[in-house]
Amino acid sequence: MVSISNGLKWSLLAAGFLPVVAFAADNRKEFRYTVGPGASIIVTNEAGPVDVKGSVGRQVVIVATTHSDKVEVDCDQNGNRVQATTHVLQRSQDADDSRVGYQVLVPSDASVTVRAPGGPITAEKMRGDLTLEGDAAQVNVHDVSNAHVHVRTISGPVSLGNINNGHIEITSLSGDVQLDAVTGPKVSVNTAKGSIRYSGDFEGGGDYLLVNHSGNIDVALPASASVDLSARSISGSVENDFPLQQKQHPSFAITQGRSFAGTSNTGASSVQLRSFSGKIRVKKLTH
Amino acid sequence: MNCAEFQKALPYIIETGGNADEETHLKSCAVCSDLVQDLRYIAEAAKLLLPMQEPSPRVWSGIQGALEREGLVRPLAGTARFRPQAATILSPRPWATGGNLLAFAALLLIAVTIIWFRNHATGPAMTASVSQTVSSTAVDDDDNQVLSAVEKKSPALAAIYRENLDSVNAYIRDARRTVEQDPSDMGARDHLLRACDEKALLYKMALARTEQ
Repeated sequence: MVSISNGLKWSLLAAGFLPVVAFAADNRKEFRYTVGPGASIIVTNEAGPVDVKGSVGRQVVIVATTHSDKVEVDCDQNGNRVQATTHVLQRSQDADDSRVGYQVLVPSDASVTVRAPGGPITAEKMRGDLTLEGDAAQVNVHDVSNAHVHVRTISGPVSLGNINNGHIEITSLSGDVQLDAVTGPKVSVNTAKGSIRYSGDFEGGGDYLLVNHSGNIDVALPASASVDLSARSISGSVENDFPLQQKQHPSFAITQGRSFAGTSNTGASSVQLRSFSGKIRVKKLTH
Repeated sequence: MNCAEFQKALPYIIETGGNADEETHLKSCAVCSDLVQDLRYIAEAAKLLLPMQEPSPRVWSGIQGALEREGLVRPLAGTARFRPQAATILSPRPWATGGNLLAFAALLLIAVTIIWFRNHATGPAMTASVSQTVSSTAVDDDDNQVLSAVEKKSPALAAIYRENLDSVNAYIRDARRTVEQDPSDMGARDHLLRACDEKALLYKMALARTEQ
């Protein structure tokens, strides 16, 4: 017979027991609602992640996981509006006590509003409007089409990928903003201290405006991009590595090293890059 | 009636609805009509922004004083004082805090400044006033009130707010300086507006935090 030392016994016991304790502390609740077209979903979460995913069907499924009894989740439906809110019942020294994780499955045409100061916030596979607001929250949005996307953060970084035909408005005070293959009739990014990176072809004859105070603006676009591009940094610098035809009448006086303007192909989309003291770099994307 | 006359009388028009002359001007002028629409929007938004107690007359006197100093409104005769309607119709809530009220007051001041700037600052002649106005939006006292309100509710976020407030104030200062140096620089003016917008966003989000 194999003998097991006391130490090993305790180790095995602890290994089996601890996950049970951890599991017991997590409380998972699921809420299901049926909504009509154009439903409105609002999630307010003081601390913890919120993941929103679009799906087929008319069901809203909200899975909320709490980690302590010092917090509770309220979900309710009023007509075509579903609201989920975290209530902190008792403030605690341990930040994890007030954390709630949300996984939200919604009809892809629903309009979604998320307020999550700590985040992170993720939204994907949506066709409805998105309003995402988080102070320090990291915000990720991808695979979205024909939607208005409004993102506001104080310091949280923002990342958007594969957005087609979007009306995009991003405002962040110091969060970095990254846009990959983001196109639409109106794309506007405004940040004070954050840097902005755009990679894509500015498709769709849209109006693209990227503005910051002191961060850098980096743009990479393929030679096929059809843009009417202008860049200006008031007290910083600009660098251009993309072939542009000089404009006869730019909207501002061109200063070597501080600004440039030109068009490529038919100049279908307007691209304005503006920084106060940051560096603006435009380069050709090579695959 | 021209735009200047109309906008001079704006506080009274908002309060009373205006007379026939003012109404005729409003119908024919897109600039003034947009301005009134913006102010009404702020008043409506304010109702949603904060369930609050009626602020003390001192708060409104402070705002009135600041607006008068900047020439945004003219001094009122007698005992009538500036009182946004949005605030006066709100019912008392016992849990409202002083921080909320002051944050709201500061937010309102910034909002009025931005709208005023959008509607007035179109030429070099206005630059001095614009600078003074923007300068007054970066008052340390207001910032400190907002920060202390955030700190009470969420100490972890207070440092983030402080750092970003410093950044946005620096943005406003830089842009203002450039506009002063070259009032015809539309790019710098655009930066100044955006910096003010960012500060307004920060105040708005701070207010939301204090309400949670």
